[in-house]
Amino acid sequence: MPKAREKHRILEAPNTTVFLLGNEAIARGAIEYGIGFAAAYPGTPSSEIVETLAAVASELGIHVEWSVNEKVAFEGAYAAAMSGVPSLVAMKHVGLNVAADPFMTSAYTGVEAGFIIVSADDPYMHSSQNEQDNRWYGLHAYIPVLEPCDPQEAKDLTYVGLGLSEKLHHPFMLRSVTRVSHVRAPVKLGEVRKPRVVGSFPRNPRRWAVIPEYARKMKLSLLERWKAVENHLAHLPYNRVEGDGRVLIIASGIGYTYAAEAVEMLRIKAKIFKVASPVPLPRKLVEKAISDIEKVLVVEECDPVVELQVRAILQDIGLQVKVHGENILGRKGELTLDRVIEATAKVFEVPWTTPEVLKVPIEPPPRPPILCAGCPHRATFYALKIATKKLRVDPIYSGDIGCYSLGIAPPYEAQDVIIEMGGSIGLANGFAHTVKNRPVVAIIGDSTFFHAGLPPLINAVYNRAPVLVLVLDNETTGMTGFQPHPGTGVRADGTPGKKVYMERIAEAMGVDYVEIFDPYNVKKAIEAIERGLKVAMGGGIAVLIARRECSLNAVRSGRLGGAYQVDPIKCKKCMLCVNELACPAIIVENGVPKIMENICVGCGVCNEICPAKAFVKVR
Amino acid sequence: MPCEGICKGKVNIVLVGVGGQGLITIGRVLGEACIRKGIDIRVAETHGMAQRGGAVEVFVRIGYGVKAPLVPLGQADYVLALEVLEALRGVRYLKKCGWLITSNTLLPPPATKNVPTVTGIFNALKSLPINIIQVPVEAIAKEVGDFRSMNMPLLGGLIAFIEELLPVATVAGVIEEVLGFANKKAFIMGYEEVRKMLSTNNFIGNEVCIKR
Repeated sequence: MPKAREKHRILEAPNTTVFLLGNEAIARGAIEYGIGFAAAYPGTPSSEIVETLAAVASELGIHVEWSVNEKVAFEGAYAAAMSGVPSLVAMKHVGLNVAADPFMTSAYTGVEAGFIIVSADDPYMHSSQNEQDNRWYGLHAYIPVLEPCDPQEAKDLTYVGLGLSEKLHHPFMLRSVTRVSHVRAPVKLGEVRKPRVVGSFPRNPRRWAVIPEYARKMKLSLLERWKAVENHLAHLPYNRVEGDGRVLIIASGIGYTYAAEAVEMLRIKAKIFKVASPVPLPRKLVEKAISDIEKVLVVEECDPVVELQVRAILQDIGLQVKVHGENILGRKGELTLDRVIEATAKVFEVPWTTPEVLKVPIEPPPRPPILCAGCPHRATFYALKIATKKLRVDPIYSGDIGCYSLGIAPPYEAQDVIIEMGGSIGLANGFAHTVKNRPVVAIIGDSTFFHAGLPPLINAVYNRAPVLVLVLDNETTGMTGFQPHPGTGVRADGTPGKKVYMERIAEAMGVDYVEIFDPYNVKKAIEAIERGLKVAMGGGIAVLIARRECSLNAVRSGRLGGAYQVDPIKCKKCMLCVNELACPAIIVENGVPKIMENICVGCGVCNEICPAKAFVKVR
Repeated sequence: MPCEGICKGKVNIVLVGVGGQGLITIGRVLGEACIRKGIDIRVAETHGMAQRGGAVEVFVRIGYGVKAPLVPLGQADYVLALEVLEALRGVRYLKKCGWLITSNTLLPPPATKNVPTVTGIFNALKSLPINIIQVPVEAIAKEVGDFRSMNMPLLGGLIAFIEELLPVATVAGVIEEVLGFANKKAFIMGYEEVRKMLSTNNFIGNEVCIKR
């Protein structure tokens, strides 16, 4: 929807107010600053930042790419900033773990032009494996963290962060969270500066090469810069004190929105210190805000990053003020208005009754996310189950991050362990040497294979870790919204790149057996998996590529379509399709399977597995 | 208690349904309409993993001074349900005597046993202290000839309640511009249907709420 016909709305004129997603607002902030380079690996809730920039890259004449992983994305953007081209790199919180190596050292060298690292954290783990609070990374790496409270501030602080980064020659981080990145709000646009796209890199290894001799000097200047950073942040207008009272609420990032409404709803007098730069927390501002205060409530999402700094500052200046925060709000999940109102009422000692929640007499069945109708992964999981039954083996299913993580659910139950991107093959390197009586099947997606699957696969070949690597290749990065990757040969802005073939990579690595199959052809898929399993059980390394386009993409492009129906005369009511496929298009009506025609996409896998071939194509 | 639930002047709406039903589109239309009227709005969406056919919630807060993006449990003025099992799940957001505006569509989760029937679901909902409007979204979508426009009649139904804040013409204009004529038609039909239902008392109103 509103993709303006002529001009992308992200390029609307200054002073207009546009309804933007937080991530689009971040992209706009970077455009306003005039960045010349942006890179990312997609990950919820960060993907739309570079997606938005990619959509206007050719118009602006800037370089925007989906990099192969977050480390490479970081390095690309970092080098751009070294060469004098302002840049942005974006990732989800766990992506920063992948990029942590260059991140830690970037504070030593600093940068030439503005460099902003966007970390979109995911409290409550809506779409993530953990809820790490990446503001810690800022303290750890001496990289200042800005934390916006809403989409407008997300745009503004992206701009401000790039400016401070350039001024202080130091990388800056913007920490967003799901409820900033994925909230839409009116955003007032600012002036757009001309992008700076061409850099230069005069030879100066004393500045850029961290051999111990140079790095020791860099550490000293880093500590000096860290002081300068704190001084500058003390003057940031987005850090401000509102209202007055004897109780101080210190609210960082999104915490401010809840705290401000809580004060309004409770009709209390409170002083709010709104924090936009949690790392480093400007000491001067805390000292100023704390005068005549009896107690403090710190409101922040996830970990007590601000609270610990506040406690340290108070102890330093010898002030005995009771600090609440984590003790009432906890450190897990998202903040809500209820949580913050309850905490505020408690600290201010005012009455508050949380409205009663209606109790429904019947409980609806759970509805977890599922594989879509026509999803090729469903057919692969089915074939995998049959192949293992035929060979009478019970493999360890080493899983990974992507749509196929949903294979953890019944009836597939083929994800025994899921840790991180590329972990499927990495963990297989251990299981293969320690669990001798079961074969190991590593299940990984195409984009994930390129992201972090290559080094552990080389390791398996080199150190002889018998494993069947099943690459579920749906020719896109599915879960995050269909971004291209090296295997597609298409670049972020839609222009052709060069296609990288994972089968050729596997062969060049010395993998013992490589085969490609089409999961929609279930019989052949079962045979291929049997062959792969036999290789792994014989001590070899096999890579099988289940290649079939994501059904959502295929339907959109018209390459897949139609619908099936059940022929009630032919159907033997064995329920194999219902029980073993769990396709959202198949329901049971009066004891007979029935296809919901508006959900069916015509993949035909149900008919493939039906012993009576009772499905007929009707469209 | 100084203030019961959310303060006056702010409208809290929760949209519930199944990933892919067009909840995010409803939020975007409301946002565009609010910008045209100079009203503040926050729409918190569900993306990523939760979108893959799972239960989806979108939070909409409209009015001067809205800052926080989420609607707490028991504090929504309106819950819009694109699917009836999700109506059952989403009603916990509704405040006492709030309005549930719902479709009649049942999408059973795959391979699930003991799925309640549509009648069973409505009987359960009727026992609650809320008001319920059933919008015939499937019939309307059939008439305009586009299955994907089933979200629009519900949005029309919502606007029938809040047109003093967001005029129907403003919202219709946004829809025609960005989604086309068929969607606008479905929206208007939903709006008119719900207005008719309200004026003829053709809705399920719990006694507790009528007395109030």
